[in-house]
Amino acid sequence: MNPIFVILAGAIGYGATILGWVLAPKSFAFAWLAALSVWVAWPLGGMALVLIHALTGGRWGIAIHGVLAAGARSVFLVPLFVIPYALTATRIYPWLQSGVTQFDNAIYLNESAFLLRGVIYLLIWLILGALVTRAERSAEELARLAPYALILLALTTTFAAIDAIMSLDPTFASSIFGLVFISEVGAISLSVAALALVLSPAPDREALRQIARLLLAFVILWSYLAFMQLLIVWQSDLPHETAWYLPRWRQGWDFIAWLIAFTHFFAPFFTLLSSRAQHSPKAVGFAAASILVGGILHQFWLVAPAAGARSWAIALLTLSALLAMACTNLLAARWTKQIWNWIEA
Amino acid sequence: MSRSFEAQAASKGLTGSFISEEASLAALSSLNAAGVGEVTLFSPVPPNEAPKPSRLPAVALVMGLLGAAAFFTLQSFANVIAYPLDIGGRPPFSWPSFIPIAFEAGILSVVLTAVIGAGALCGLPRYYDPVDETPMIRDSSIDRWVVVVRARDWDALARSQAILQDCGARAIEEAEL
Repeated sequence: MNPIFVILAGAIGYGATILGWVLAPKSFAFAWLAALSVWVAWPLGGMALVLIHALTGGRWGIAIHGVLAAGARSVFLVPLFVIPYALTATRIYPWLQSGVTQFDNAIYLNESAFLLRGVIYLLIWLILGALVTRAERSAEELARLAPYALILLALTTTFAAIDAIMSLDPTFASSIFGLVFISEVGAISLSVAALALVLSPAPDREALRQIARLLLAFVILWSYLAFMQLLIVWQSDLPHETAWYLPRWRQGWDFIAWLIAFTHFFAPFFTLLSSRAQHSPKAVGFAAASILVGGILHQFWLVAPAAGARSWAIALLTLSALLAMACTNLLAARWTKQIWNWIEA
Repeated sequence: MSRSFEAQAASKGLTGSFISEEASLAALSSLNAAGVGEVTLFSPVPPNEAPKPSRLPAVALVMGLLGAAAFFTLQSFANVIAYPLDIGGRPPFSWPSFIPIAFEAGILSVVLTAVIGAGALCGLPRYYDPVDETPMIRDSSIDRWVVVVRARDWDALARSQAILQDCGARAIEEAEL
């Protein structure tokens, strides 16, 4: 891709985002969190998939190894993108605002504990990113690293999702929430890698088929977990749990919810069921694009209704923030490798 | 090959063996073109060209969707029209709780269709085929391609014999099939 085009698109993204930050700081805070929760799937999922492939093997991982390794390297951008989030966090979390009544779970949800946990997640991710990047060329080293790294990744991702997204409503608790986010991370990052493979000049057909089946597995896993949360909340019918779904179902948000069900489950699931589609780059590309749209919509649907107002502004800001992050990521993918080689030498 | 047609008046079956796949496939296609009856090829190795994809997966999918839709409708009917009960204040059309049953019913329909369909495609209720008794069929599991013809009538039998000979069959035998 032409770097000038990428720089221009990134500049538009940053321009719109900064304008949003100045004019509507509260909407910006929600939008940045939504965009960050989508983008972070790329470094976390890239690391996780590289490590999973080191343990399982298979053509699929070899075909997209370069792309996934670049994804894992982009974890070094996380601190940069966390800065605006950290600066505006007081605007979006009710338990961070001064003068509100204490919540029952204040022992977990308070400023210093939140900061401490955030620093721990960041440190673990950065160290894992450095270790994966160093071991990237050797399958053996990656396989030695993988068990510990995957366990740490799963734990930190679960708690990060709870801290950053679930705590938007401090009275809501769902024990499946972290797993839903982990499956979302896997689905988004594999979709991006699948799109990169489909758009490459001569995609490996067998690898494409394996990736199509893995995508199908991620779609089923995510749908199962996301639906289970709804079903359990529906059956137990407790006020503090159903209250989380209400703002995500009223004032037109039910339309977004159905759109998520369609783009994140029905379209990719029924496309990838057919073994002929699993061999076709076009069909796999369509399914991956649909999952990507569904993933963005899903994270937006998790975050934005908590704002309670200005959903359109948040939607626009989320898209521009995502554009800014993606362009930065694209440009940095080359530099991080060079910087890494320089550090190693 | 010493026996004549008149001596074998009871049989309308014919087996012909070939030493190459190409010759046997040529015989198969010309026999099919001539429309002599049911023609089957027995091969010692898996065929080179991929077999025609089966329609069974698509049928199984449709049956699965029908099964899921049927059970979703059944639960909706039972809870909304037939026996509306107030369960913890939930609406009668409590669709999230209908989905697990609809899913299970869909999977059951898919599995039943696939298992019964695959059995039927293999001709399952028929557990014996007289072709297994012919002397030539044993060669088809060693190094020969064997074409089996179940001719429609005597004329078709004679034409099949001629076609098999033209295509270079190494041996031709009649059989009661």
